[in-house]
Amino acid sequence: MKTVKIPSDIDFKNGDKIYLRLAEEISQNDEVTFDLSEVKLNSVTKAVLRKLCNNFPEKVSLPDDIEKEVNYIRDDESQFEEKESVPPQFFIRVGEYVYALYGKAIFFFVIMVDMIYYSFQFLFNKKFVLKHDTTRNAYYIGYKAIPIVFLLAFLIGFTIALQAAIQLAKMGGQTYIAMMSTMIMTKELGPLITAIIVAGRTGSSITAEIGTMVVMEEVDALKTMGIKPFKFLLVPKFWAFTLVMPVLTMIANIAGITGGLIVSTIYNIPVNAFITQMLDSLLMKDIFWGTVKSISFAWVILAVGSFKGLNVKGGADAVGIATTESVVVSIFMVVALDAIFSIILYT
Amino acid sequence: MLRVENLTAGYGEEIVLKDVSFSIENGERFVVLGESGCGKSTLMKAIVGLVPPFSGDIFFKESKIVHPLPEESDFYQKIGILYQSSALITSLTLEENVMLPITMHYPEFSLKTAKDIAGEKLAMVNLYKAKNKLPQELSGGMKKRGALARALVLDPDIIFFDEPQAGLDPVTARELDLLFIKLNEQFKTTYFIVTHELLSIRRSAQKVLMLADNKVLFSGTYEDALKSDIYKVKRFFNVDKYSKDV
Repeated sequence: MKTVKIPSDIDFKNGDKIYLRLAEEISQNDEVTFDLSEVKLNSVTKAVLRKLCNNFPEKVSLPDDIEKEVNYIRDDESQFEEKESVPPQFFIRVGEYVYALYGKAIFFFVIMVDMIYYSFQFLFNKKFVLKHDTTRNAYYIGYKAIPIVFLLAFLIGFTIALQAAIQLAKMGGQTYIAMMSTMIMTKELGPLITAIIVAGRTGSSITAEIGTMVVMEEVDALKTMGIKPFKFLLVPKFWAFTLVMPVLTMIANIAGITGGLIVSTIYNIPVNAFITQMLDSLLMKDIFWGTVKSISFAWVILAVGSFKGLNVKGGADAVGIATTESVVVSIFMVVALDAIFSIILYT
Repeated sequence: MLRVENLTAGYGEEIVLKDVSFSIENGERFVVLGESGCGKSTLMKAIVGLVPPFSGDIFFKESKIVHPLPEESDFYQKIGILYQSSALITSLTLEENVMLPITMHYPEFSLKTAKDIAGEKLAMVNLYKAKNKLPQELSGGMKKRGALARALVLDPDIIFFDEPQAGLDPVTARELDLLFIKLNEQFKTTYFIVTHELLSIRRSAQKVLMLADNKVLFSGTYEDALKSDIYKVKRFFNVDKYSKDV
């Protein structure tokens, strides 16, 4: 019978190496006893001994007193036992995914309908909405967003006009910068840039606000105070969004066209000529549909932000995930809706 | 005041409470106790409708309550709830939080009078001077007191307390208990308290309901609970004596 000495200096640095050496030594002999005279039962030594006993049960055994210390009792595991689960088949997984998606779509639809219903009901019944909350929301959603909307729309308008001017100049068509800037901003980019900025800036904050309220039991508290959370939370935001988005879009249009004006002055086009051409290409129809689009985008951003916030389950990390998802989904839905508008209006 | 008969409730398909029955008299301090995860908070949430029960009957002042109730229901104006996290609306000051049930349910009500009522309730919980502070500027104990002021503002018939001492030091927890008791004796409002804090139970409980293994293990007066022969009840009140060593 071979005696294997268990070293006294097993630790986190050498534990794996010592285990391999001991395992090799044991595997080369038929019967083995441990020399535990110098052993220090720290966590790593105990783990090495457990592993050796588990892997060579017929060759090694530990004295009772050592075994008692080395093998911990796992008597509480029963409460964490999970049911034996068979991985669901492909079609079942697809079915479950579609069913969950259907549930979410229904909930989103309910939020959208409730939001619009309660918002118009608010015009006749002011109950469940805080005074001045619409103004406060309009201030944060609209007024505070003016600088960033103006700056980004100006830069995008400037860049697009510059790129276009370079190409138009080759054909002597730089005089069309005004028309191009006006049309592209009022028809497409004005509402779209504004919606993307608002989705990133305000949509995320709505999700974070409502999500935190869910986690902190504030939404439950509203319900049990007899206050409709949808109405309390969404109606002021709905009206703030509805009033403020067209204004922000108008600011984005002006900023983008101003970018075009700067480019046209670089190409020696007189300001008067630019303004005349801009007014000629400015159609009421485009401004009207731009406003309709901006309001639709606003409602989508609000509904997605609220939907993601109200669906938060868990803690702070869940709020973070929901906020990210809210921005991604809002921007996707805004772009998709814009594409639908384009198909309807311009084809 | 409140009668619950054969209430079964849970989450999804999981049953947390099965056939729970009890009744609470007017003005009573009724404490629901039990180990963590036994369903104390679920029972409270089932009664108020946050977790609609699977089956069973709830009678409030002899009227049957069928959940889910619409938020406008009178039931929600006759109850107050003190949540574990206090659940004060963080964007509103303490005074606005306390006024919230008035301004929401009675928008035509004079704002000045609503402020006066909120001030009275805040004074009752010694928070009058903090009325213009936001919840995040308050300590844990102050938030709980503020939430109690809000729960009291519509003069409810019953107040539900969900682990009111959670996260508080023993001194603050004692002060809060004494405040609860003082207000209960002053206004005869019925209390439904969910807790597992022994000191708090000793101070507040008149009647107790102990839950274990999804059902009612004991129901009776606090004094009877102390004398009970049921092992889990004895262990709960004398945890060192009856628990195994670790």
